[in-house]
Parts: sequence; C-alpha cells; structure tokens
Amino acid sequence: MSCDHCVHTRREFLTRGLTLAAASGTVPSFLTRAAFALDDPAANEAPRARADERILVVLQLAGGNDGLNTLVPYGDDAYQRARPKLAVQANDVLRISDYVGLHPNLAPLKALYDQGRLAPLQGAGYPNPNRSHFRSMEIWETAADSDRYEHYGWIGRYFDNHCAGQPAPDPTLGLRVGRSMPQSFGNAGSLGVSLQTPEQYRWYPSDRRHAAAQQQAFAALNQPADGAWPPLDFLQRTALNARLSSAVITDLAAKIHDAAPYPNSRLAADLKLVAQLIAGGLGSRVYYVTLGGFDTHANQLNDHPNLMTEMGAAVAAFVADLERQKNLDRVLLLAFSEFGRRVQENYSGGTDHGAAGLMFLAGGAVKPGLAGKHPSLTDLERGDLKFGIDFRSVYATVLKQWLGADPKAVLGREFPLLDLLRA
Amino acid sequence: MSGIRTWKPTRTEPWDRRRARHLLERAGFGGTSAEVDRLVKMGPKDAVAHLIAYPPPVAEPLPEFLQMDTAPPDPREAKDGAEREQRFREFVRMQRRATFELKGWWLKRMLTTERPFEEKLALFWHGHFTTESDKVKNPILLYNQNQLFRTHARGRLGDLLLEISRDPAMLIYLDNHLNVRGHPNENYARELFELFSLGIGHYTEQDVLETARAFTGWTIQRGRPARVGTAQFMFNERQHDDGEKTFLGRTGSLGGEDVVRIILDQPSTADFLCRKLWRYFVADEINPEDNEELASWATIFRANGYQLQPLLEILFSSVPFYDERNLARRIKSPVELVVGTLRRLQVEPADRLLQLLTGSLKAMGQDLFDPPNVAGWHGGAEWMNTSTLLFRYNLINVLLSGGVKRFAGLKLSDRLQGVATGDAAATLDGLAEEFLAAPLTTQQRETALAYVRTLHADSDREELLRCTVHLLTSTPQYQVC
Repeated sequence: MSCDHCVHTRREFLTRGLTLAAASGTVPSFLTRAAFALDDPAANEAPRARADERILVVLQLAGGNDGLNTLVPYGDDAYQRARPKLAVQANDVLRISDYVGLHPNLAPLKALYDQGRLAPLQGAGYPNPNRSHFRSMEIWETAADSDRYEHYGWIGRYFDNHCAGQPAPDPTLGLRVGRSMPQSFGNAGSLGVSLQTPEQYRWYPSDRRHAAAQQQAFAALNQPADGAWPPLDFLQRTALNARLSSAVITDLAAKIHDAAPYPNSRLAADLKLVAQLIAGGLGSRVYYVTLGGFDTHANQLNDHPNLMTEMGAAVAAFVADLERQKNLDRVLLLAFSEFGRRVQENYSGGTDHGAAGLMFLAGGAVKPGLAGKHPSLTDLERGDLKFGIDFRSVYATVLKQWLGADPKAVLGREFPLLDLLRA
Repeated sequence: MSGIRTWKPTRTEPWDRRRARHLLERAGFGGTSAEVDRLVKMGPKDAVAHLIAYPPPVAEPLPEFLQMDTAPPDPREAKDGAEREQRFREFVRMQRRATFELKGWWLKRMLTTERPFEEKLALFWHGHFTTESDKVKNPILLYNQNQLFRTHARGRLGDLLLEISRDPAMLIYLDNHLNVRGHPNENYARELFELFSLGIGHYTEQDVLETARAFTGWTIQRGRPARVGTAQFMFNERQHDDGEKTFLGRTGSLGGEDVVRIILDQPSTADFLCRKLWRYFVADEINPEDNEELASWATIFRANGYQLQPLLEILFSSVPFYDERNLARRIKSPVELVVGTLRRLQVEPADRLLQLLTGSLKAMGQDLFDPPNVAGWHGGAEWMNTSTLLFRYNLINVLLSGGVKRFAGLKLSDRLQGVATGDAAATLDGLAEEFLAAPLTTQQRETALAYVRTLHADSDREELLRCTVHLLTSTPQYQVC
C-alpha cells in the first residue's frame, strides 16, 4: 500500500507546525529533528493538492438505535403487531418501497435518498451478537469476533498500517470532535486527536511579559523524554500531539469564513466543525462524531423522534455544506450503532437491547438505493433480528474502495466486499 | 492472614514525604505540605488509620437548595394545556438549577471536608453504581442516593447491593420502576450483573431474563409534586412475578433479596470488586503479577462477609500499594486534579469558583452525577486525550491567574510560604517537589530553569510563583499521582 499520504501530510503538517511554532517564538528541537528526517526525495516534491484525498466521517449512534423505527418496515403486519404503542403508522412513513420507509422526522434524509446520496444498509450485525452496550460497541469499534478481544480499533489499525515505517506521522490523521477518544481510533502509534472547539484547543501562556520563553519551556516539557514509564510516556506523546495539532488547527480556524446554515444542535455543531476543517485542508482522513441517547428502554416516543430530527437535519446540512464546498464527492459518511433493538416493544413504552440494526452511508459516492435485505420480523434469534450484512464487510469495502487500504491487513482476515460505492 | 503482607518501611523504601503524599492523594485528594508532614510523623500504620477510620456519618438535614417549598403547583392539576405546559417548564427549570447546585454542593464537600476518604469512597460508589441526572432528573433522589453511598461506604457490600436495588434514583435510572409481571424489563438485571457485581462472562442471557422477573414489582411511590418531590421504594406485590425462576444455578420463587444473596455466593463478585478497587486506589492497570495479591484480597473479602472496611485497611497497608511501580503511575481523574490542586493551595470555594469548576469537570470528562453512561468512568488513559490535556493546563492557568484571586483573594506567596525563592534553581526545585509526583529529567529541568531565571530576574514573588506553578502544572508529570 502506498504511503504517499503519510509522507505528504507529515511533511506539510510539520512544516506548518514549525512555521507556526517559529512565529510564536518556539522551535522545539524534536520538531527540528523530525523535519530533518523528511529530507528525502518524496518529501521534497511540491505539496500535492489535497482535493483528491478521500475522507471518511464516522457517525456513532450511541446507546443502540432502534433501526426498526428509523427505517420502518411499515409493510409488514408483524411490525404493527410487535409495536402496538411504538409503531410508526404507514401513513406517516416516508416511503422508500412497498415494504420500508423512513421515520417521518427524517425528511431531510429522504431528500438525500431521493438524490441518490444516502444508502441505508439493512440488517447489519455480526454472528453471536452480544447485548451489552459496552461489549457490543467494543466489537463494532475493534471489528473483533464476538468471542475475541482486539486491543486496537479498526480505524486505529488502519492508521498504523497506513503509516507503518514513518518516523513521525501526522497525528491529525484521525480527528474526533468531542472530548474523548473513540475506541475505534485505538492504535499503536498514538495517532489521532480530539477537540471540541478550536478556541480551547491551544495552550495559553500565563506569563505575559515572557510569553515566548514560557512557551519554549512548555514545549520542552511536553514531548517524549528518555526514561519515561507508563503512563508518563503516553501522556508525553499525547502532549506532543496536542501541541503540534493545536498550532495547525489554530491557524486554520483563524481563516474560517463560513455562512453555511446548520440547525441548532450538538451534532450539527460537530459536523459543521468537520466541514470547516475539511474546507481548510486539514490532513485528516477520518473524522469521528457521536450522537448519544439511543438507549430507549422506556417512553421511547419521548426521545427517539427527537433524535431522528436531530440526526436527519444535521446530516443533511453537512451534506449540503460539502456540496457547496465541492467536496461532497470525496467525503463518505458512515453511520452505525452498537445494536438495534428488540422487535417486540416492552411494557414500558420502550425497547430493550437487540441485535442486528441499521447502518447508513451518505455522500456523493454512495451507490443509490437500499443495500442488503431487510431481516425477517418473524424468524428471530432470542426475539432479535438476524443479521444479513456482517458490518466488517462494510468496513472492508470502505477500507479498500474508499481509503485505498488493504482490508485483510487491517481486519485480520478477508470479508466479502459489498457493492456500496460508485466506481 | 494467608498471602497478605503488610508493607514495612525499609532503608531503600522509607516512609517519607513521597509515600505519605502518595497515601494522602490516593486515600483522599492530596493536601498541603503541612498535612504531608503530619502523616510522615504518624508513621504508615497510624496514617492509614487516621485517613480511613473516620467517625461514622451522622444524618444531615436536606440542603436548602433542595427544599422545594416554593415548588410550583403540580402540572397534573393544571386547569388546561397551556397552564400545564407553563408549570411543566417551571419544574424543569427548577430541577436543572437544583441539579447544578447539587454538583457544586458535592464539589464543595470534597474541597472542604476533614474526612476526604469518605468523599473519595462516595465518588467510587457513584462511579460504580452509576446514575445519570440526565435521565433521573429529580435532584432530591440523586442527593439521597449520594448520601446512601456515605452511609454504606465502608459497610457490607450486601447491604449496599440491596439498598441500591431499592434506591429510587437507581430504580428510575435503569427502568426497574417499570419492571412488571409478564413484561420484565431487563435493564437493571443486566447492569447489576455486568457492571455492579459479577462482571461480563459470569452469567448467561437466560440468567438476565430470569433475574429481571425476580425484580418485577420493585418500584417507586412518588411524592407530590412528582418531579421535584421525593419518592420512596415500594414493593408492588400485584406486579411481582412470584413464579419459579432459575438463575445462576438456583431455582425457586426468587425475589430481589434472593438475587443479592445469590450474587454474593458467586466468587466472581469479590474478584470483580477487588479489581475495581485496585484500579481506583492502586494503579490504572492490573499486571499479571498482581493477580495473586488480588486473589488473596478476594478470598478474605468473601470470607469476612463482604465487609469493606477491613478490605480497605488491607489495601492501604499492602505491599503493592507502596511499591515503587505503583507510585506516580495513576492518571489523576479530573476531580482529583481540581480538588487536589485547590486543597493544596487551601482555596476557599466561593460560589463562582464552584460554578466554574462544575462546568470544567464536565469538559474534562467527569461531570458529577452525570457519568457518560451506565459503566461510569473507566479512568486511566481514557481521561486523557489532546483535548482534555489542553483543557487541564488552561484551567489551572485560569485558577492561578484570574480565577483564584478573583474568587477567593488567594495569594500564592501566602500559601507556598515554605518554598524558598532565593534563586531560580531553589524556586524551581522547591515547586517541583511540592507539585510533581514524578520528577523532571535533567534536560527538562535545564530548559525550565532557563525560563525561571528569566522570570526571576524581573518578577515579584507572586508573579514568580504563579508563572512557575503554571508551567509545572502544564506537564504530564502533574497529571499523575
């Protein structure tokens, strides 16, 4: 696999980091060393335009999204029977086929579907499903078999694989909007950064009169040092990543001029930041955002429709923004949840943890239409839907056809590729 | 007791300021130099007793901000839809305000208490038997649950398991108040096994379903008005499924009390709890060589009827607790960072400071009464990423420069009187000793010293302390204890 991207982004990243650090009066020696390491033919080529680099945006729906009330099998009597209180009525469904349609609050996604920019993936799951949030989320994030434990995340392993042999790859290869790191990003090389807002994403000196000197000392104390033991070594790598990436992101944020309309919600704000960073040319290949609150054990009608509204409006605004930027064809959004919910509603007006669920892809490159076959509502496993698409086949397809990676090297074995993306 | 060795100071591993501070940080929230000196004088045995054998808690009146005498009229008794809507909005506003105050109330307790171990334990149990205000909403129930943790913090695990299963906030949080005969809601049963007692892999899906049946009818009776008032545990016999159930190898007409009893018969419960206590008090990671020690703790814990106090005594007197490889190896939680910093500087928690800190804890990933999910805070490396690290650094800057002075009129030169500032090296080394559990490398010290020399040349003592402390707290070394 080619690592042009690493060399290229690392070079540009470090160059920008150095320039910015120099402007603020600090040139840490570690950076200087890393920059010298770049003195090779590949790195000395003129910076390549980024416009051909494809980007993956992962949307995590945390808590277990009720796939059956997202992509509704309104044409199945078994659905109405299983959901006497919770069923979305056939008249309200935004119809996609005679069998399924979208939740009425997903009109913005229906419009994307009609434009061929949204592909729901029905019946996504894995063998021997686990009904614990944490274990099942871990399975999705590490792409492990349900009886095996993987240390690193599937995206993290992609980072490691992609940048193997590089002395100082760009830590912003993966960027999480938020204040925690997703397990998907777990990797051996300490790659990946997280931030909530660019303004808070920098270190502010406390010494106004000797700001440059203090900054220089700060830099020296916040980078890998000899003899550090865990967890100090981890903290030092994190500190270095924070310092380098904040210089680049602060610079980029200062240049953001935007007028793109987004709805007023957390998810919309997060996706807006992603769109801004993409527009600014940040080197990230993978962005990760989360919408939580899907664990609807009780009174689901209070919460789930609002989540549908928030998700639909935010994703549609994001897609519109990317289209205006002319970046839609190089951005792919992948949405997943740790499981779907039980077919039969419970007595509390909610639904319990289930198994197979719904994924969806959005962007300019998706193959229009429904992917996969809707799972049967009567042929169940412990009351839950059986999966038809192994989610790792979706990952494999995205890795190979979108990110240009070797899925076997990342996922550990072959998974059949799916016909999800336009050639 | 078999397999348990008590740590004894030696010439190479003495009971000194370093180990005394280690104990004070772990069994509390750290403290001033004088407090460290006091523990050194006591010796390890008395120091442990001093911290963990605090007098039993006494009943406290409901804090004023939770006395909802001024509660608006019950929305359910509104004359029409518009009035109901208006009353409901007022309720929500009141609850949010009170919940925010509740967060500050706890933080203030941690900052000012003379029994820090009590708060440290309450925080452990809150992270273990999680509840999110985001779902429960009623701050009085959250307060009551929080006090329940203090009442049983060092008692018997069985009592705590039973009481938490009957706790209104928990019943709401995991939907057991809606768990009724014929329609079991398995949310509580699953988390009770997975996260509160046995750990994943020690039960089956069938065990979860059957256990959910045992808890049917365990519900709440709400006071009025429902959303701001109190609620009591209620056993609703009509909604209880008294049919035969089989779980964890037992069969019978089992109820919730039986579940607790049966859980305590499982060896994995003691093991699970000991591991969790280890990760909270001893080290972020459990290494293979620690398994033997942990197995001994679990055996003793189970043998003595799951009493917590003796287990905690063992923990804080154990060889691994004072082992070199467990000193300065834990990443501080946001609460430990904030409370530890402010206790060390003896900062008075003014209301505005508490408000700032409540929001900051959330940003750093430890929103009190609102853990991220039912698994609580995982801790360790999960506290730390590029975003939270920068936030920690900047928060201390705010506290030292604008914040603390403005909020409490703090002068660092008063609080750090013991630190000599005659020259740059003495200043740096004195403050590093005071603040950092892990030392700077020679090269790091040299670079820092170059800066402190610049500062020393033209700054007053206050400025010198403030900027040097901020630099030293903006380091990986300050994030560990």
